[in-house]
Amino acid sequence: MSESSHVLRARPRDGETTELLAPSVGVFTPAVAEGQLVSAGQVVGTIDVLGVLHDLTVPGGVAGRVAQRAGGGRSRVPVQYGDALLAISTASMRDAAATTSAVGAGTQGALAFVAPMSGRFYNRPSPTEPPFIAAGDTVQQGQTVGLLEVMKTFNRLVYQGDTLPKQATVESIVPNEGDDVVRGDVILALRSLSEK
Amino acid sequence: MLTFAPVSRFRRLFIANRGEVAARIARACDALDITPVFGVSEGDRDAPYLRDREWVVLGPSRSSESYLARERIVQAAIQTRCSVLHPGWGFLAEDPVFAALCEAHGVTFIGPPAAVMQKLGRKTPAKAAMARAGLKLIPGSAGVLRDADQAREVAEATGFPILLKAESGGGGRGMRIVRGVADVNAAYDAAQGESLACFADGRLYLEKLIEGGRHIEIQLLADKYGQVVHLGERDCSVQRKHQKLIEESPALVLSDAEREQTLAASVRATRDLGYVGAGTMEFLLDAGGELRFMEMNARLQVEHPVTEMRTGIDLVEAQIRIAGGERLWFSQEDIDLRGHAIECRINAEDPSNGFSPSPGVIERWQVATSGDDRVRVDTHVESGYEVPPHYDSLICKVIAWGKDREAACDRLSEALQGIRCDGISTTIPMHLAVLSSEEFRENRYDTRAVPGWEG
Repeated sequence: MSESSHVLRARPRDGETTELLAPSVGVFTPAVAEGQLVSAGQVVGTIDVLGVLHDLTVPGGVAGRVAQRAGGGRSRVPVQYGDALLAISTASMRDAAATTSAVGAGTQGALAFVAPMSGRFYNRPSPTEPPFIAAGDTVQQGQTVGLLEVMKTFNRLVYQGDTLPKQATVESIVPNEGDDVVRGDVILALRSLSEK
Repeated sequence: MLTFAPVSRFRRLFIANRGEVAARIARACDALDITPVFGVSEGDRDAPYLRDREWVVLGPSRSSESYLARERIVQAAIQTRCSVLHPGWGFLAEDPVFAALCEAHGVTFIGPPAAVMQKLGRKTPAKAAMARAGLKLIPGSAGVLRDADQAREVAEATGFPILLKAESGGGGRGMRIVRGVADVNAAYDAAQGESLACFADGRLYLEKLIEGGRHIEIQLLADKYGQVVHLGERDCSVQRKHQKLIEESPALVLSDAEREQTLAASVRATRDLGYVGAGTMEFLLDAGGELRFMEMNARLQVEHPVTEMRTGIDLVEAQIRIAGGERLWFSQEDIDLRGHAIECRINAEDPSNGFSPSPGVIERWQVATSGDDRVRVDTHVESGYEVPPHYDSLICKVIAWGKDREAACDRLSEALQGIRCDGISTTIPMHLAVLSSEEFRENRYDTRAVPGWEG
């Protein structure tokens, strides 16, 4: 019996196949056979991490036929984090899968404040305190808009830069609390004060 | 002719760490003819030290799901058929629960037994054990404090300034300096809040604050049968915000009498504790020239090469052989502490900009190798390596040996000048300034400020 459940991470291999990736190192036992149809929410196997069995479920937006299984026909397959456990052929269900890749195009060409270096983003000075800034707020040059944890030290993220307006309205804060960002990732999507 | 190959019952060893220490442990495995297997995070899977090695990805870059994920690590060790695990330093190296988990699943943990580690992690029982063995302590509370009222009473009896410290603390967190009775309540609440948040234990104890002392530590080695030796002391007083920057041995500021007496007492205390493996006792050298016990670290230290350069003993090999059940193969009399050794830690930080972190790609990394065995360079980086932003900033250690302190310092300076690192900032310029400063060369400094460096 399983003690917890994991939604698998999906990675497109090509236009017609999506891979479902191991969430941890451990021993994978598939519950589906090659050729079988699977869809979002379905349990497709378990991963054993030190005797604890975790159910593995298909993420939203993925549906199709199992084209390949890690370990071929074996029932207990040692895997590492990020290994492809199942390859799902989505060719026959292209319409269903297409909805998953539409997010993220909205900020292109617009004003953005980007991460000056790579690290972990925090929107609050501490978990119990209010956020530095929220969507709809006006941001000014010199204002602290978050924290970036780099090599175990916390650095203030200060809104500044020659290409940015003195003031702007925050459209959205792109990373979630605690997300890893790399240099150049958009932190704040902005709109100039004159626009509506 | 009879030859004696290195003895070890281990064939495959799991390295539950990353970076410089992971590469260091693998070198010891090579010497003992053991196959190392690296447990790595997603962010480290392309690291150069994994080339031509066995490795397994534990989880994503964030440590809580990889280098700190106890169950994943033990699962990975079993899955890759390793019978022994080296935790390195940091991460889970001093976690008794992890040590116990390893043992429960038949994986030998390289370090002291979980119960000993647990005792050393709690500060006041460790101090009481050390006092029984004859080590001097920093004056303060007899154990943990009941509340702020008791803290005020003990503080007045001890004399200000005092330091409030977390019972389960470390790394400078959960600590508050108090200079007068009026400030005790506020400091008590702040220190308790911080230590609850960091260590899930809000208990505090109190010590007299000794300002401007020197940080001296003693390297110990114990087998599973109660044999204990010391490998001399190290002086680690060049620090910034409790982070060591330069370490050397011997500590010339120490009197011979105080050194001998403390070395002997440390060996006694280590034996009494039932300690196993490599360990380090840390002391504060006060203005009166007396060494006062602070804590014992139940693991390999970053600065262990300083001791290796003086003794010729490989501490990581010794840890592995001891974990395999070998008796210590030398006695105290066999250990010859030769000359002077000094190490500097090169971090990916910009020392002229408040030591701000400097992750990124090392475009070019070059170390002038003269083939001189009196200089040692321990590193995991090379040209093209990207220093990830997720972990600590140590990228390299350079260690030099000389017949005396002058010779060792000169040789270290020369070695540092032969390192080229393009693409990121490092602490090399600071080390060169320290090594050539009068304060450092004449040994006139303490832990409060870095000698020869403003900033």
